[in-house]
Amino acid sequence: MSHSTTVTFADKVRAIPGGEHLEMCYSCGTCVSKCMIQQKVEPDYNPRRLIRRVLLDQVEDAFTDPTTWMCSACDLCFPACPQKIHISGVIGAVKQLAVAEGYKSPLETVKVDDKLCSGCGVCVMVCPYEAPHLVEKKVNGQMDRVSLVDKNRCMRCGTCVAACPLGAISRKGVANPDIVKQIKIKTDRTTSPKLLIFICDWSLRVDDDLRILESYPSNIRVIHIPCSGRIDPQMAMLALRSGIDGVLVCGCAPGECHFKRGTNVGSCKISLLGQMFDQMDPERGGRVRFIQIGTQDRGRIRNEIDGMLESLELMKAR
Amino acid sequence: MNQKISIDPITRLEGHGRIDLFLNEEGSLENAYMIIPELRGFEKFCEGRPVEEMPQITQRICGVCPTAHHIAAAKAGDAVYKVEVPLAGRMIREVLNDAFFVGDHGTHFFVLGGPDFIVGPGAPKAQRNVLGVVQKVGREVGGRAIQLLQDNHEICSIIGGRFIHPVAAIVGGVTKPMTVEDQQKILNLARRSLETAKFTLDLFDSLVLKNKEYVDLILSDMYAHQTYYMGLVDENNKVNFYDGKVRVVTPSGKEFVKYSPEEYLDNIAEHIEPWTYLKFPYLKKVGWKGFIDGEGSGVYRASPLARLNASDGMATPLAQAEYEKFYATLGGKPVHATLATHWARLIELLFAVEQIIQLTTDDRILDPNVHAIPTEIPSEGVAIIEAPRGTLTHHYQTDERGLLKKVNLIVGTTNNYAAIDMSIHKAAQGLIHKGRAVSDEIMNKIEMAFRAYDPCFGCATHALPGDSPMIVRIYDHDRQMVQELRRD
Amino acid sequence: MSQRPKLAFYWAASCGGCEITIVELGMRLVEVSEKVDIVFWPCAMDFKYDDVRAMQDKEIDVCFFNGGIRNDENEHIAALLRRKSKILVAFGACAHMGGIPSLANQYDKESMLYRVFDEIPSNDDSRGTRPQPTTHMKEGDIEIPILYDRVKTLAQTVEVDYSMPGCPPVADQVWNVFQALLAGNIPGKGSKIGVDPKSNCDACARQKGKSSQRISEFKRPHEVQLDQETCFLTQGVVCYGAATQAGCGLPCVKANFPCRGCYGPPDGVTDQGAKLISEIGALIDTSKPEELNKIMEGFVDPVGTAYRFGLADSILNELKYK
Repeated sequence: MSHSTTVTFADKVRAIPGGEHLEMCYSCGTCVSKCMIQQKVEPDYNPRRLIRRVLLDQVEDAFTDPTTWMCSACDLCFPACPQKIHISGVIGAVKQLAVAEGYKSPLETVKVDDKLCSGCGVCVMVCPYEAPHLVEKKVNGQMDRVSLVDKNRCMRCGTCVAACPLGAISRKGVANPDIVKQIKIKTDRTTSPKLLIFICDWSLRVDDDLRILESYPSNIRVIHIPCSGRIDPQMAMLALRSGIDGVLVCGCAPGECHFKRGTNVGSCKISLLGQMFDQMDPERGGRVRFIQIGTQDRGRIRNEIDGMLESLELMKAR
Repeated sequence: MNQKISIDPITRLEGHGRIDLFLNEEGSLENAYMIIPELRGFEKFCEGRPVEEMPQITQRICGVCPTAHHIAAAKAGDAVYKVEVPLAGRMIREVLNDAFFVGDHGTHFFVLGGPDFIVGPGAPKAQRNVLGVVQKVGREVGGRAIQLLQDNHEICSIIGGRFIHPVAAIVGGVTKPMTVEDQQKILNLARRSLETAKFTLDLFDSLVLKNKEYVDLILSDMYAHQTYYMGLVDENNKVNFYDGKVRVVTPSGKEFVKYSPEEYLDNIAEHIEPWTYLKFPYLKKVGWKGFIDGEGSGVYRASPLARLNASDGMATPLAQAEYEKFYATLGGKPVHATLATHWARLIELLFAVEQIIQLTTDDRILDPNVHAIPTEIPSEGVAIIEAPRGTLTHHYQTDERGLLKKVNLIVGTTNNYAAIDMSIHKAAQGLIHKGRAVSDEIMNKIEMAFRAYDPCFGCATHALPGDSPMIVRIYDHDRQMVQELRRD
Repeated sequence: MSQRPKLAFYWAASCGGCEITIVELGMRLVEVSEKVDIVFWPCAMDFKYDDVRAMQDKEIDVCFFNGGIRNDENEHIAALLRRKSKILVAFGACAHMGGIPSLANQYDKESMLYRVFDEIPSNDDSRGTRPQPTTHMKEGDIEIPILYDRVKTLAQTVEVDYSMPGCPPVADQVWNVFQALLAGNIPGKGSKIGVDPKSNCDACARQKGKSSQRISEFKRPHEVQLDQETCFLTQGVVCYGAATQAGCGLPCVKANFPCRGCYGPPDGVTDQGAKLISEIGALIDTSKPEELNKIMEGFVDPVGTAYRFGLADSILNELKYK
């Protein structure tokens, strides 16, 4: 601990709520071993190293470290840290300082189409990261109230894209047309049920499980979405309408969602969809299912898919 | 082999209908039927719906009388939750109801049934509408009529957002309190309406009551039925549109029964015929004896005429004076002449306006407490209100969350269905004779028999079809023509 | 022979509100009536079906058809008017997407007939009598239309040129459409007319929600004192405005009741109900997963809530009846 009167980088980080206790870190690296981003997406992602950089006053390195920009506060590391440091809070504090210095997120975030946006504020309310906010600006020569996304906060989960009633907030790859065009299953095996699986990028932790997913024949199709919060019940309806027999949506277990709340959001939507089927068309209800896979659930995906196929076979037989 | 003539569809009223006339070989009438060819099934598809949404849902039964269902549904919801509406909330609901009554009754008189009277039942088809009325009585009158309707539509919009399918009434009260500005606006509109209401009664007097041919028509047996009469009354047996008990009098005018909403099933039963989708309500304690008149038949009527017959008077002074004049002119209570309903309707119009003024000048209507949040567990409730066309009953059974399990509705015009069928038959019997062709005028006179019952909607302004030249003559009070406008 | 455009108005399974909305034009209708000929309008004029049958094909320039298709007479007249009209407009929520009567599609025809003609407690000994397509009376036969097993929209029955949403379409929008037609401004076939772009929230003056403001308890409109200044969603009250095409001017919201979606889904949305639950589902407060079921129980009657006016036009309906 410094006794001098100059304010260090670490001091600045500590001063921001969430940035406290970072000096407790003794660099054990447990956080890195838990981190899904490091394992699946970016090997250079390293919370331990980032905290070190802060403590060593390596400001520029900290501000350009991918860790600063890619942390989604899933907090898998937090319960594991032996020093009980809220690591995502520390990272968030670093990001805040970086933004103040003019640094920008390298991530391709969602954008709002002002011509479509009605300023309803739904995206503002649903975003786990409080990225969108309503502003008054000129659109087509007239003052209008529309949403604007703070690209330094957006983590690209897509929850807003599904929630927006007008399709006004989106990005390439997860826009409605991008997903809808994947909703078709062509197969010669007409006797097997056709199953569409929506899987979030984070619920299957190990490569073995991913291989299971890709091992099924062509009557099963997988659509990858960043987060199960991106699921839109319309997609399940379109799938059933096109002749697909069942839809399985797979997210993370509660408390383990990579984007904080996406899995809970997804489960609510599919639950409400199920209630609508119960009222209107009870026989069809079992065709859309939402499952939540935990970090420790190895191989479970196979059981879930096989179980679903079996149910669909039974429904076909009836 | 009998000849069948169908009037298809019947026109200048709300709803679908067809009249089938069966003539024998000689050309006289064997029978006449008023057929309702549609069913939408509200009593089924409302199951599962939340009871607090019923004011929104049931008002789509009728886009002409949406407010009647809107308020009845809110009252039934109050009954289901056993919640009492705060006084200001009730007053606002009543103003909404009264303004809607004025608009509806006014529309019927000037546009729907009225033209038959004012222009004449045998007038050419093209004149039997509001423009024909304007031609006959002058443009100034036409303008005042439109103003009356628009003013009362405006009052409804101030309270409920819009005239067609308003939103004001909710379980426990209304959605928002009345502001001082709104109070003033409504009062101004109501005061102007009062003048028009009085004027319209004067008009009826000069055009109809002073015309012997029309009076004979009104009093003719062809358009009369001796039935029971039903209407909602307050504790003094005065006509009340919003609340009270249902009073039924016999064809000779004696009180037969007075029941509370919860007792409606002890008093009303419905008869089904396979040739129509609408059912025939009748008085259970008298029994269904078929489509016949008299004290032995359970057929009853619920309409402006019936309400006046079933009551001991009107609760406001000007309307009360008209009530007394009505019975003095037509030979005492009860009046059985169906066409007298047009007059009774105007008396109710006056009453409604007087009531708006009474309620709106009472500053208790400004109290911000207009909605009581229910605390009881919902279960079952019945509400009865007067719709312009007749007594309206909503009966709901819900689960403990307030979701509907069962719904029964006995709707305004339905009360009169048996009587309407009888009126059609009697008019047709009187008009269709051997050797006489069934002309347009005869068919219209048959249609007049039902138009008296059914105010429905209409057209405040009406397009003149085809290329007919239009002539508008403007008269002063001495009936001197002061201007003639032509469009050839 | 008249050079003036010929208009027709007809109603199928509807309530009559769409006729009254024409009346609400007041003096503006007189203006219009001087430029057109109304050749068929059962509620207000005495022309009968035979008069329409006698017309030439496409003799009617524009027919405004409101009401859903509930029985074979509705379908018959829809086909007749389609033949006799150059332009056919599905006018109002019922013709556009089924309207409130299409909530009956949740149930089957038999259970509806059973409720009305058997179960209802006020039915007398004639209970069990069912209306028949043909009844042999001693004087002759009476025929009545046959009910279909569900409500269909106009576009599911005949080819429709334009749709004009609303329950009913507001008078000002009707006026806009009349003016456009008279001026010859005919939009591209298949479009919605009488609407404004975007959704209702665009014009709503209420204070919108803040970051992370979510629904931790659903409040039904009678369970709270509805606030007039703030977005209903922030009060926990379901409002469909965000998922509803703009154009009505928000009379309901201004009178302090949440929007129920009668103008139908905005452009780009296929199924209004599914979109609504995609929006509402994301608004639920998910901070305590163990409480989610309890919160969702407060969202009562999902079908009647999410598809109040459009069940006949939904994919949910299509899946059931295909």
